[in-house]
Amino acid sequence: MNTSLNDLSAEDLGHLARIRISLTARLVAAASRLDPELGLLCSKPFSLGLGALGLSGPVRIVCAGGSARVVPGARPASGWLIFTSAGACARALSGGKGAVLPLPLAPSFARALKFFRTAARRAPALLRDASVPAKTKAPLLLEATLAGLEAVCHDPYLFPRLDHIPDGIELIRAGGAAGAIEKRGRSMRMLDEIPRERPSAVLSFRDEDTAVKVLSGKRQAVVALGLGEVRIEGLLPLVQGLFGVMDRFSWYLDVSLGEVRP
Amino acid sequence: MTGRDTRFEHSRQYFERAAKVIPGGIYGSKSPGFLVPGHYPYFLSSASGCRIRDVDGNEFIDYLCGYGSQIVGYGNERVDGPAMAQIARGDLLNQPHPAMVELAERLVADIEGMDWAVFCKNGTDATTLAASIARADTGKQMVIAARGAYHGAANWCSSNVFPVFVAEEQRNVVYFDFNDLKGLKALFETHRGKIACVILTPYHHPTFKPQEFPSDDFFPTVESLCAAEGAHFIMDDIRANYRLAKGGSHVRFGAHPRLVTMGKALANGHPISVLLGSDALRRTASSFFITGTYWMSAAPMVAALAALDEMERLGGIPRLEAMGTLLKDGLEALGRESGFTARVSGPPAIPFLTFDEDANLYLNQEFCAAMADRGVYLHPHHNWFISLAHEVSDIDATLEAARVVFRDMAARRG
Repeated sequence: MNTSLNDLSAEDLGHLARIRISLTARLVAAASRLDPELGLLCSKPFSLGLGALGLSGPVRIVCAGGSARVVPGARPASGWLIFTSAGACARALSGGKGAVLPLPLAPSFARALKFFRTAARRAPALLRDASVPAKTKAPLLLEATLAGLEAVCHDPYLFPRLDHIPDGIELIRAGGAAGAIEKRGRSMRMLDEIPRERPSAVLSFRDEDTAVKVLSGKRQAVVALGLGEVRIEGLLPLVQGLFGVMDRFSWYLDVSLGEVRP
Repeated sequence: MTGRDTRFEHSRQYFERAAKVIPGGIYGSKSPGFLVPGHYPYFLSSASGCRIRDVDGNEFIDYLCGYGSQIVGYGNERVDGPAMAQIARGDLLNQPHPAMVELAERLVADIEGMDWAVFCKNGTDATTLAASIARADTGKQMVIAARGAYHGAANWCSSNVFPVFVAEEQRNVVYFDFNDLKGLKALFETHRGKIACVILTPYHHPTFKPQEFPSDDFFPTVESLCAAEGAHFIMDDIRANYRLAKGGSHVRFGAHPRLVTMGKALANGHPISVLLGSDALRRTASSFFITGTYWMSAAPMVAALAALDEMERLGGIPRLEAMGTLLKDGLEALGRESGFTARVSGPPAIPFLTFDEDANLYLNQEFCAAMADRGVYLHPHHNWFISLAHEVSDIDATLEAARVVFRDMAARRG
């Protein structure tokens, strides 16, 4: 059932805002590594904080040497983009309008802002553009999925489900792209590097095209699995459990902007 | 199932069609993802004895036995014949067939400590009814179960963990680790005065893990805690019944439940399950409105009576254990020869192989997939079953395939 942003509880609005912040930051960072123009915009160092008033868990986008990465926590060097509320944040980062306060802390803030605005437009466009090859889209979607899993697990709706999923590290492969996430208790954490040791479980997409279809929700994972387009190995309850967490993440992504209330 | 693989082409085509009209294509424990896709068929067409055939004409020696329901073998004429004859005479009638009385009498006589029987269709029906009767009888809500045990697909006990169920049906079910008596005692302490029942399987047979027998003091402790609390002890014997002891699996472990659920092997795959109870719960059970459209159909009851006779005729539990032991000893020895710590856990008639060196089951998946490629159907994540249709030659053929598979695995490991 598609839910409107206006119908979300304050708590769910906060979760959506956190998910959107995490997702946007990760996509922006991933896009900087794929798009040469974005790479140029972050050739000089800066760090930009992204958060919302009354919302915990801000993130930092740190740029250096032509690519960006995401670091949790506060204290950005260049400045902040602070949304005035969780609702404003969720709305703005879902493609609508929401009030945001720019807080410059250093001259590099202008560079940071230019990069963020460009990348935040470019990353979703890359995903939507039919002419962009799956090889480009797959790493972006993978990054987005892992970021989504990491952020959505704070939603208490998932706690009983998370309690049933065994702890462990899951590696996800999509053609040439790969990422890993560690589930421990009720939290999940994207790993900066692919673990050298064999992970608890591996989810492999046959190719980038399949990854794009499944991760964008155009193909059901269980169906792709049955047709051999997706392979799972190792600790199955971990992979299958995370499918259930992904469902909740998708539910948040499907929240529509709806009518703006006065 | 890769694009190039034609061994399961018809299975694949049916799955593609299924995915359009059935959620997930195939749901629940039969979902392709529970096996190793590409190495197992998704749709089966026929079976006889201990062999199953898929829609592409591939044949397998089967060790899943319809998830345990096939105990005297697929298509056993001595069971199916009387059942088919009853269907011809009339199966689902307005009133029960006398076979219901005969079967109830037979079960009450056979199953130790049980005084009455109620028939239903699936395991879930029986376990849900058992828990409900225990709750009604005690006037208490809480159910204690072992973590990882399967008692059915109803909301109170299923893995459908959605907040709406957690907040209602699942909030009164609490879990402990099987054999963890300290944990069990703590639950009784925490929820004193609120516990209606403890529901347990005769031994622990979770998916994805080695099986585990109860310690000597496990059931005596369960029983004394239940007695002190005024709670009932339910033995969920759906999966193991008739493979451990003729009088009910609780007899094997010296347990004394008040309620026993049975099904699966009871009628060799014909749809019937049963809740058996002791006199202490007869009055409460009598006050329940118990019904289901198909719960009194005659043919499965006729099949159950015939299946009980056929189990005995074919050698019963001693034969199942002999075959299972042959398989267990053979697999463990072959594993050792190739440098693996392959361990077969559980009773001989319900074995399950895991590798001590791999808790994540990569080796299980590799082993079982390769066995399926060689025509032996072993589940990588769920316990297996021996049937009375398995012959020594089937076990030998299985072990011969395993010899090759273990060697190949060892070679790949280097």
